Amino acid sequence: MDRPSNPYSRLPARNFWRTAVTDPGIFGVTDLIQPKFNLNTTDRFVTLGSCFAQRLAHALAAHGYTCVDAEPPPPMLKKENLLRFNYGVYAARTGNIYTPAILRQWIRWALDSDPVKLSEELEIWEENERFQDSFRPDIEPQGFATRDELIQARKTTLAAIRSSLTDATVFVFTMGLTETWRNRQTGLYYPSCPGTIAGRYDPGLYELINFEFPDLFDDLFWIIERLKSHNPTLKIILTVSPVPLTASGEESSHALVANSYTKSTLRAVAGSIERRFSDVDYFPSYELVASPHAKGIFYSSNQRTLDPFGVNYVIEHFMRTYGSSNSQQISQIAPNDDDEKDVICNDYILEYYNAN
Amino acid sequence: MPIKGPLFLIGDSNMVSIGRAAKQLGIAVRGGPIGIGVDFEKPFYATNGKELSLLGKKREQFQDEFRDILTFDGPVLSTLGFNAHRFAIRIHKHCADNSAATWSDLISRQVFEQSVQDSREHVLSFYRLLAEHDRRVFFVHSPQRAPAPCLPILRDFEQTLIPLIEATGARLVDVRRQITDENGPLETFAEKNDPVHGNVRFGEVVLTKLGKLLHP
Repeated sequence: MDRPSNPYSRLPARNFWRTAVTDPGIFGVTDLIQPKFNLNTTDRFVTLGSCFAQRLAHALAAHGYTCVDAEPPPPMLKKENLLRFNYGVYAARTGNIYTPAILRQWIRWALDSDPVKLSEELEIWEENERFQDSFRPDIEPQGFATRDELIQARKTTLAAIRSSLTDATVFVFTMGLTETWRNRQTGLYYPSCPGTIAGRYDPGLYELINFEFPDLFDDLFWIIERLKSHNPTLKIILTVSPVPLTASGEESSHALVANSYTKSTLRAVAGSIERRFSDVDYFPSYELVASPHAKGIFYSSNQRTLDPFGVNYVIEHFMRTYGSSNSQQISQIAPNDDDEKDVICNDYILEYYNAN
Repeated sequence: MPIKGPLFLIGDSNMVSIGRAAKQLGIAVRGGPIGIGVDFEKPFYATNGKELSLLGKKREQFQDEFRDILTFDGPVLSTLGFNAHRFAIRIHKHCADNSAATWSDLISRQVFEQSVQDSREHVLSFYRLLAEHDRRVFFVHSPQRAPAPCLPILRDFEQTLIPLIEATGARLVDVRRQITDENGPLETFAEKNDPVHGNVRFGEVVLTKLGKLLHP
């Protein structure tokens, strides 16, 4: 006797876990999303976000895509010093951007700020007669020589962000964390806890914020609308970093549980935003690496950072999804063993403070 | 005071006018230029004990002349590192490409200094090698010539490089005040029909100053 018809009976194999995940296996999983647009090698990418975004940018460049570099290094700096000074890491020297709130802050500064007020918003940390930009404390390893130099560097970076957002055809934002640190007086957000990379921790001035869905959604919604009004044809791809957090700042948290909250909330926000915009995609880098089908094989031995093959696996899916014209070459390109060493992860610094 | 005794010259194309001047002045010299400045932005030498060998096909012809520079009985005069116009032109182009009036609009002093150090990595290592072999080393800056918009960068470059070389123990032969005025390099010391090099008079000024340093 035929089973009665229902909505599931008409769905393709990709909708069912067994036929979409279990049967094809780790290297057979395919067709994960239905992209809203295609990409090709004439596209110009701006990738921002957590350290996974850096690896994505390296991989895109290795596959012949153009990643906009709006704040290029001076000629003749050696490769290790490019990274030390945060050149070539992102389109501009922003440092890592782990949360939508911090990206919103940068975009507001770059696109909407009055330069005079901007100087007022700068919180400069002075130590041993050197000056650090509190909103990107690792871009100038020993600090700037003067306040003026720091302010000039800030202006250069904001101009670079503006031009990169104008020049880009694709914007990829990889979200990494829900936790961040905020100045109680100014309400401004820091990429890392003051006192870790630079500055001094003052519990009266700084507070830990663990964002929940509504705030994350508001920030991301604002970002998308602002980017679209600045560059109406921009294609936007949201991803969630599969790299677990290094530490949770909430005293009651266990890192494993905190990580689950972080990634699931970010994932939910990305999905919710993606449904509301016809030219915003969610690309499932998190699912590709962190789901049960992958059995954790793409993680390094610390069970946190990604093995280069993990990055390559994500990129292969990315190319297939977005119809790269050179997709046939993908599996022939070996991952770069040095890639991990070349990635700057601010939160790696936190591990230094793990007294256990 | 004329220079007594033999002098070992080593350097880039800026050494040409100094070598010519030395010959005209009857100073006993060994060595001379071994390449153009860009050649020294990559590894250009190797050692085997106290013997120096120069890397690169272009320098094969100079091998015998420079082999004993580490044991030569006399002071060494070098222009290595001071193809300053090239650095200045490249930074100026970087500024122009990024709509910046000066390098400090675009990069920090720390980044500028690191660029100087990185671009002169092999040259600095050569000066350290000379120091390790107890050589008495003198070095001279560029003839201060570059396209006008690049001159401030050239000066900043040299202000950064000079202390790095001095830190190896080498002494600067500083004739900048003699060969420039407030408008820049003096025509008198410029090689004719040549945008960057100094002429024999520049070489004479350098050797005169060196003589004073050697025989105070």
